[in-house]
This record gives sequence, C-alpha cells and structure tokens, in this order.
Amino acid sequence: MLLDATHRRWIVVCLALLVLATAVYVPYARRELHGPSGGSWPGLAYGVAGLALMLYAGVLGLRRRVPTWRVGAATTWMKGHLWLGLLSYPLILFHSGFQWGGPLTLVLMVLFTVVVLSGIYGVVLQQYIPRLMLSRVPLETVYEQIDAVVQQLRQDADALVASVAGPLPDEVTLVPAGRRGGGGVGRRGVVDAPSPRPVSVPDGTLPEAVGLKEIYLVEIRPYLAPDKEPDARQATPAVTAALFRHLRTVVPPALHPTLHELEAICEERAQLSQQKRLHHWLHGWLLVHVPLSMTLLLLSLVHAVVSLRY
Amino acid sequence: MAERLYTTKSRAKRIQLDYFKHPHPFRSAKLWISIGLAVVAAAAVIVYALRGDHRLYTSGPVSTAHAMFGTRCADCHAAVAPTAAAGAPSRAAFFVPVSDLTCSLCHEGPSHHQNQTFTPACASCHFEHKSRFRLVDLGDRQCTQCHAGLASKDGRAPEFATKIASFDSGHPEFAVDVLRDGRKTRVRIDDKTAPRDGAQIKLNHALHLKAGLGGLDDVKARTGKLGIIDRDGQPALSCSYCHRLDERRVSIKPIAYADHCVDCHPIVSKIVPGAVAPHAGPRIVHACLKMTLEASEQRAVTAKGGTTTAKVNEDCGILRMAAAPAAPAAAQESEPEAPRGGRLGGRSASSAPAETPEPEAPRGARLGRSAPAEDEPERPRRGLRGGGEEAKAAPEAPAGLAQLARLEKEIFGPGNCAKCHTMTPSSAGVPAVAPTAIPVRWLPHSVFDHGVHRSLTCTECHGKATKSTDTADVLLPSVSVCRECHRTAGGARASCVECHLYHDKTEERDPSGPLTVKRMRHGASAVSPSRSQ
Repeated sequence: MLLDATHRRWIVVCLALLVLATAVYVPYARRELHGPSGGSWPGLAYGVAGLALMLYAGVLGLRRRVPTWRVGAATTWMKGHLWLGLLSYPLILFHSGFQWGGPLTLVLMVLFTVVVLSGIYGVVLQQYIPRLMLSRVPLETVYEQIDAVVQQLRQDADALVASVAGPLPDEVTLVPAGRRGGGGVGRRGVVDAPSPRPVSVPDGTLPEAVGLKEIYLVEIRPYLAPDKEPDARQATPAVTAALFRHLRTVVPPALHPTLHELEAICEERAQLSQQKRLHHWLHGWLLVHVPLSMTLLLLSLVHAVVSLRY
Repeated sequence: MAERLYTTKSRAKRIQLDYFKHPHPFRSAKLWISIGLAVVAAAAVIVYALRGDHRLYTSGPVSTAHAMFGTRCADCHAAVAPTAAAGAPSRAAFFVPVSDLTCSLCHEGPSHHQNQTFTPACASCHFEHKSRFRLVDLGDRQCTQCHAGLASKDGRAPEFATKIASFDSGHPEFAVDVLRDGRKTRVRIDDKTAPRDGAQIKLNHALHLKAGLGGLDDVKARTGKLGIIDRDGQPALSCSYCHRLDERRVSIKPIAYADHCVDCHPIVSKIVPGAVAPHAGPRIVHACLKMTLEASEQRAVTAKGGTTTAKVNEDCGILRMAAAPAAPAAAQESEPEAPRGGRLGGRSASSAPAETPEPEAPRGARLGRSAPAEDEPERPRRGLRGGGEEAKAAPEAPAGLAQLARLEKEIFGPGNCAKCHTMTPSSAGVPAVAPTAIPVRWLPHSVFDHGVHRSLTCTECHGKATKSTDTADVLLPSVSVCRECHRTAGGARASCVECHLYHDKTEERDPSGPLTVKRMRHGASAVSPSRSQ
C-alpha cells in the first residue's frame, strides 16, 4: 500500500494515541515499586488495548477472504491494519514493561517483533516495487496467470514460425555447441552457423525460413517454456535485442516481420519473468508475516487466558 | 522496443476468469505454513499442559528459593486461602494474586515495628517472577515509602530519623547505646560529648598493636596462630589475632580469654610455682587454689605424692562444670548473631533477657557475662612466664593453706585478674568481678558483614584503634567512612537492605512448619482432603 496523503489522518491519530499512552506509562512506571508489569491494572489495560489492536490487524485476512462483507472499504481496513497494528507494538511493550518475561511471553515478543518488522519491510517494498513494475513491466498480467500466458505466448510463437517454416516438432533436443559463436548465446548452440543437415520444406513455406526455424527451435522456443525460469541472460532486454539484431543479419529480409513479431513475444516473456521476480519480492515477506501473525494471535490468546487465570 | 503484437483486449482474453478459484503455489504455501505453525504452537501448549508444567506461562523465572514451585502456578496463586494444616487445593478462578496466607505457610514474616502506620503485603515487597536471585534484595523505595517521611501509628514523634531518602541522603550518623547518668542513652558517635564504651575490661589497643611486643615470636612458634605479623622487622599483633570471623564468616567472634589472651597472659603464681588458676569465676578460682595448696601439703606429708598439678586441674574442671548453671549468660557468647533482631524498641529486651542480664548494661547487644566466664574450655596454661607443663618440671616449693590468702591476693591482683578485670573487694573474702559488658554488636539495627570487607585493612575503618589507650574509646567508624565506597551514584551498593533487615527475626515461629514433603513436591492437589484438614 502506497503511503500517500490519505494516511495522514491515521498517522496523526496513532501518534496522538502513542503520546497519550506514553504520558500515562511514564508516571506509572516511576510510581510502581517493582517497575511496570503486565499484571498491574495499567499493565493489563495496555495489554487489552494492544491485543485488541492485534486482533483487528489479524481480521484483515478474513476481510480479504470475504470481500463482499460490507464492513468498510478494503483500503480503510488496510490502513487500519498498517497503523493500528504498528501502534499495538508499543502498547504491548508498555504492557510488558519492556521485559521479555517467561518462555511464552518471550516467544510472543520475538514473534511480534518479527511480524512487525516484516510488515514494515513489506510496506517499504510496496513504496518502490509497484512503481518499478509499472515502468519495467508494462505488459503485466495477473501473477497467477503468468504461466498460462507464457504457454499461450509459446503457442503463438510456434504458430508464427510454422506459418513461414512449416510444422514444428513437439520438442527439440538441444544440440551441444561444437564451438562458441560470436552471437552471445553460445551455451545453447551456434546461432550463426545453422545445422548443415537437410530440412524438408513443406508446401507454402519459404525455403529461407529453414534457418529461422532451427534457430527458433534451439534458442527461442526453450526460452518461451512456461514451466521453467528462463535464462537470466536471455531475460535481459538488451540480450534479447542483440539476439534479434543478429538474427536479422542471418535471415532474409522477407522474414524480418516474423522476426519482429517473435521479438515482441520474447519481450513479453521477459517482462512476465521480471514480473514474477518482482512479485516474489513484493509478496514473499507475506510467507513470514502471515503465518507468524496467526501463531502470534493464537499464543496471545493463550497467554491472555492463562495470565488472567493467575 | 519491438511493436506490441497484441492489444490489451487480446491479452486480457488470455486470463482465465476463475483463476482465483484454483489453488496457487504461493497462496497455498502461505496457508499451509500458517496452519503448520499454528499446529506446532498448539501442540507445544498441549504437551506442557499434559505434563502439568506451567513454566511456559510464567511471567519470569521465580527466585532461587522458590524454584521448586516454578512449575505449579496454583501452589502460590491459590484461589482458596490455604489452611495452616497443609494448604487446601486451589480451585479454578481468575485474578488470583498471592496472598499473605500462602506466604505464611512457610514464612512467618514478623512485623517491622509495632508503631508502623501500615504493613505491606508480602508480595508488594517480595515481588516474584523478576529473575531475582534473592527476594530480599529490594530497592530503596520499599523502605523510603515510609522512611522518607516517617510517621507513627499513634501519632507520636518517631524515635528514628524521619527523612531518609537514601544512604546518601538523610541517613543519620551511627548511634550507639551507652550509659549516661545510670540510664541507657542512645548517642550518635559524632555527638559533642563523645560516647564512652561502658565495658568493664581494661584494654589498651594501642599497646597491643605496638610492634616488638616481647614474647610474640615465642607464641607464634608454640601455637602457630595466625595474626602475628612482621611490622618494620619486628613481630606485632594484627587485629585479626583477637578479632576473628565467626564460622559464617560474617560477624566478629566475641573475644575469649582462652582463644586470645591466654598465650600471653596466663594466670600463674610466682609465689607457688606450678599453681595455675583457671579463667573462671572468683569462687572457682578460690576453690582451685585451695585444692592446689592442699595437694602441696599432701605431697609434703607423704614421701611420694601421688597428686599432680594435672590432677588438680582436672578437679578444677569438675568444679567449673558443677558451677556452670550459675553463669547462664556466658552461653550467649557463642551466638554472636542472636542480637540481630533485638532492635524493635523494648520488645527485644523482654524477649531476650539473656542478652541484657545486667540492668545497667547497654541495650540488646551486651554479653553481660560474669567475666571471667565460668565455662570457658580449659587450655594448658603455657604462658610467657612459665606454668603448665613447664611448671610441672620445676621443683615444687612446699606450700600450705596458710598461703591461700597470699596466693589469692596475687591471683586476683593487678598481675593477673585485676590486670584486665575490675575487681571489687568483698567482705566474704573472695572479690567480685564486674561484668565485662562488652557489646557483641554495636549497631544492632543493622547487619554488617565483616567477611565481605576482608580485602580492607581493619584500620581503614577502625583507624582510631591504633591510638586508643582506653577501653572507653568507641572505635566504630563514622557513616562517612562507609560512604567513601557505598554511594548511590556508582561505587559499592548503597541500598537499605545491604545493612538492614525488615522483619524481626527474633519473632519468627518455631522452625517446625505445617507442610509435608508430598505437599511440597506435588502441590496442594496431591494432598488428600482428610490429611489436609
């Protein structure tokens, strides 16, 4: 969530609450003979307030699971999750008197700290990565559909090449390079030296497209495979552009429009790869934040019940 | 950049509209990790619950003394007030603080002062779950909540300093109890008229600390005792030759003739060589001297006297044992820490009469023994001036009962008893010895640990001792000496509990408590109802 001017009200309210809580805490902590503790009445009040805010922050997950609930806009919930969840941390510190306590409370504080830090990390990432994605991935699609789209891109590319070079085999076994060429992609094969073995040319296709077909099968088609992350070198736009500049020098001009379209498909593939990586950065922290939050809430409830018991 | 092959619409058509209904690895991972962690956490909680171990929920480790209760919250947080018999099992409830009744199952916790305005709950001072090694290590605020503005229950002016904020601020100069005009009076040691020690013993500290005292090398060679040091190339007594720590290495043991004096000051006679008097009451000494002379006479009558000096000494020992009940106060000498609690006004004086047997003795901490002690252990008298084994070898001069008066005059005189004791002539013939009344503890309101201060030279604090020639000199250091090291801002600890105890230990109950081993080990729930009643 982008921190913009709409957050100002939340920030002001939370800061005011924090100042109020601190103003109450300082004299309380100085007055207590043994220092502040969670079992004192002020400590209990801080604990109840902190737990309430933690529960509110945790309900965001439910709110997202049932988007049809008419309980306020999702952005409002997100802002509340962000700022009230952050406010709950100092309240819990006031509750504990800045001490770790016993084993359970120690685990709780460690979990809480990791949850808060991971949340802050996520917020910071959200200030940069969406903008980065907007500029670098104009062809962004739904994350969960990236593999499906890549599959379609490959089918489109296959159809494109087949239209000029005849039907394509299902898969091509990669031929190890006999020597490294100057094309910059020598690891996968020699792009400037098409195989001398004869290739049958079907009716209605261009004989000059045989070279393109072979290069496509060796170099481009694997790059379009949806089930594996493409080579980082090829995923770089500069490398892809260099590849196609080189191809234009080795295939007849009649095939340049086809090359042009193939290049567009490869570029979209590269963008989707980048989207996938950026998405992992943008949302990967949730694999820490969410599970630990759930554990934190569970153990917090156990702590609350047992502590009130004694 | 290459031209786009597809329009936005054509790309949008590639999206499956129900994609969110199908599981995705990222979302699935998030869900399963969440479930897995929660299950692990719940399992841990359940395992601890099944084991009956509540340590998981403690808000902090309990103190060392309460470690065995650390796994059962209900042992202390009992919803039902425990009975004195065994402690009733607790029942489920919420908000169950530790009650004073629970503490009193094991601890008496006598009150601090009869006139205090309020008595705090046990747990308000002895706060658990703070990882404390000792629960008695309290902060000054527990004390200064009263002593910073001391008031009394009956509204009278307190007898103690009323504004003590800390050891640095408001703590008064040390004060001691002395006799003035026949009355026990508490006098600060910085008082204009310096307090005088009322002990009836003649001791010149400066002389004893002088280097080059005759015979010290001989004493060291014979006894091997510690405390004879080399000072400027000459043998000298160190303070610790006489002032030794007790078995707990906390307090200084009372001075005992047999331990500290006899090596240099044996009670021997020059008139009757071999006549040795015990360090006992005058009547015992009289009886022993009489027996010695009778034995001499017997030896003079019989050609081969069968009675030896050792036999006479043995008889004297029997005499002393027989006379022991007549001097019960001397037994107090072996309990130096007993007067610790004798600080709550007049109560301690009534509860421990043995400590103040003489009405004229200063309060609480006086030994009051009728010196010399009647039951002091017998030591071979091997003084600097001969006697004991050496005397046996010397030829025994004939002596008779006629010499008794002369012998007693010598023994009770300035060369022996009267050298240290105040002797009062009596019409009965045997002089009386004034009780030594040496204070065992000068500051009964506090506990001073000499052991932890062993790295310091004694004269660093008791500097006046090297120049003191009179027993009446009070050699206690001023509070300012303590403050050189014990400062609130840095330095050694300066909290109240370093020196003071809150509870009057002399008021504690009989050490036989109400609990059983089973109750202690397994908690109140393990005790059958019939047994707990």
